[in-house]
Amino acid sequence: MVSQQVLNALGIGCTYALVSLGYSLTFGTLRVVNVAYGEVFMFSAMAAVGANAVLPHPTIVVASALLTAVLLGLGVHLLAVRPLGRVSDVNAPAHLSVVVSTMGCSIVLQNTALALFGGYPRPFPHIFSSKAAVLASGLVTNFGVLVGGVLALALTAALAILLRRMPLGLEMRAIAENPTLAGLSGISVPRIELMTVAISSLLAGAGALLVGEIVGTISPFIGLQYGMKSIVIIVVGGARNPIGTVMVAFALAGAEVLAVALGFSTYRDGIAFLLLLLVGAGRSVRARRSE
Amino acid sequence: MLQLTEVGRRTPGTRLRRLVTVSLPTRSIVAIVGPNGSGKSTIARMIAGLEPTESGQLSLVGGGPGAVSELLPAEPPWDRAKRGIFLLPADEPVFEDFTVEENLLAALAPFRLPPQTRRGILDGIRRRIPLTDARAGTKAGVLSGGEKRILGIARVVLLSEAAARARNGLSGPGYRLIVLDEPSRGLHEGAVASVANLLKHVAADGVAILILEQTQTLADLVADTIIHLADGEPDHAHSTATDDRKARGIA
Repeated sequence: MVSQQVLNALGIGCTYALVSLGYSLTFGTLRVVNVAYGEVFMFSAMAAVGANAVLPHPTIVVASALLTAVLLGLGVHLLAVRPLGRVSDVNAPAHLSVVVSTMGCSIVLQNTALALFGGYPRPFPHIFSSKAAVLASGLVTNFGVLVGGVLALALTAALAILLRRMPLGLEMRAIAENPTLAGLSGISVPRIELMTVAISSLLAGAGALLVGEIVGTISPFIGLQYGMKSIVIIVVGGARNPIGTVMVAFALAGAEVLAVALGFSTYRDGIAFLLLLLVGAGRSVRARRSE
Repeated sequence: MLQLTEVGRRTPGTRLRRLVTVSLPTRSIVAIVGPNGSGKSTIARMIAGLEPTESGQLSLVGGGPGAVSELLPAEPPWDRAKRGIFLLPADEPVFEDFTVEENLLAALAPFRLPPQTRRGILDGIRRRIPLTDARAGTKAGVLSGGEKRILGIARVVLLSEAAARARNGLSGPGYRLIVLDEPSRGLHEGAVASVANLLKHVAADGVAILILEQTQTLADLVADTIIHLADGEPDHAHSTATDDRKARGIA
């Protein structure tokens, strides 16, 4: 029973990890809070459901989710983020206006999804296997959890290597730290920003597939839920810190599963914000002590 | 080569204009010396593409007889860099969050270089600027002001070498220009001398160098031409090395 719960937590942790990883990449590199990211994630899950209704083939389902994520991610960036200018020009109002403009995008996306798919949860097509996998010890799990665990670990490692070792990762970090100096060093800031958004949207798409696989149902409201939790995970785990992000994602999932197991399922979605409060309080206490 | 024609800042409300007309041929070192607020950084930022050229003209003049000159188009800094024009900014010479090594690697990142060339360029810079080797793993942010400046100079030299050899770098004549805004700020005397030595080698390698300074020390050591931007200077500050020596002799 206990190990069954651990398995559940791992499954949910994988979904949080993937979605937050993508979010932290744009947030850390472009230094903007793109509120519409959660809706891009939701929409690509809905696109997978839609594609499955028309052409139920795994490749089509996966491709439509990933493609939708990248196209919408780039669309939101070009429409609502780039025209407002670089936020890291120490221009506080621009920061706020990106939040507002992307919030506009997310309202449009959510309502479009509502109009297209309706507001009720829809069953997600099982891509990997419709059968539940029974592990050696007799634990029952969705096969997606296994695939998801491997996928989440692999993508985390890939992202850490990209940021630490690859030229593109260096360029992304350079833009995050000092866009002016990056530009003077021959780094094409808009081009690297687009690539960052594309990669993080791909992660959103992968996260969407995984959430569908593990949770089993999808509704147009999951964008807000996952988006908010991702923001908490990034703030606690540290932007541009893939390993910290993933660790917090699993910790949050563990806490949620524990709460449900203890009978507090009503408060499940509030735990993220409790975590944020605790960490915030802890940080301010530590800051005051070191003064 | 790059030709500056009446470039500079027009101070509104006064008749004072500090405009510079000078050409920056390959292998030459030109210094513009003037106090704070005389428009040196404005000139640097215009050349690097950080600011539009509001007054005066920047033009590229071809070499040889019958040379054609074309206006340097308005373009962002990264396109200037692809053209071989680099700036060391005065206030933020390095990526503070990066290690010394990462600062060097970031300068090479945008250029497509064969691995061997890449290693050669890095080894060359480590040999000529020992700091980049000795403190490779140190965060640039904890370096002293002078050390940051030297690392910044190492970065622009690296950039100009990478641009010259990259497959996606310079197209056309291969003109390279390094603009250094306050390169000797925070440096002690010995360091200024070694920077001077380095710059002479870089220039001899086929690079044009423009130095913008508040003090004369580095300019005296390396510049072929020194232009003074001082209060009460006439409309057009245009001088050559000999003019300059005469002027200082009288003073």
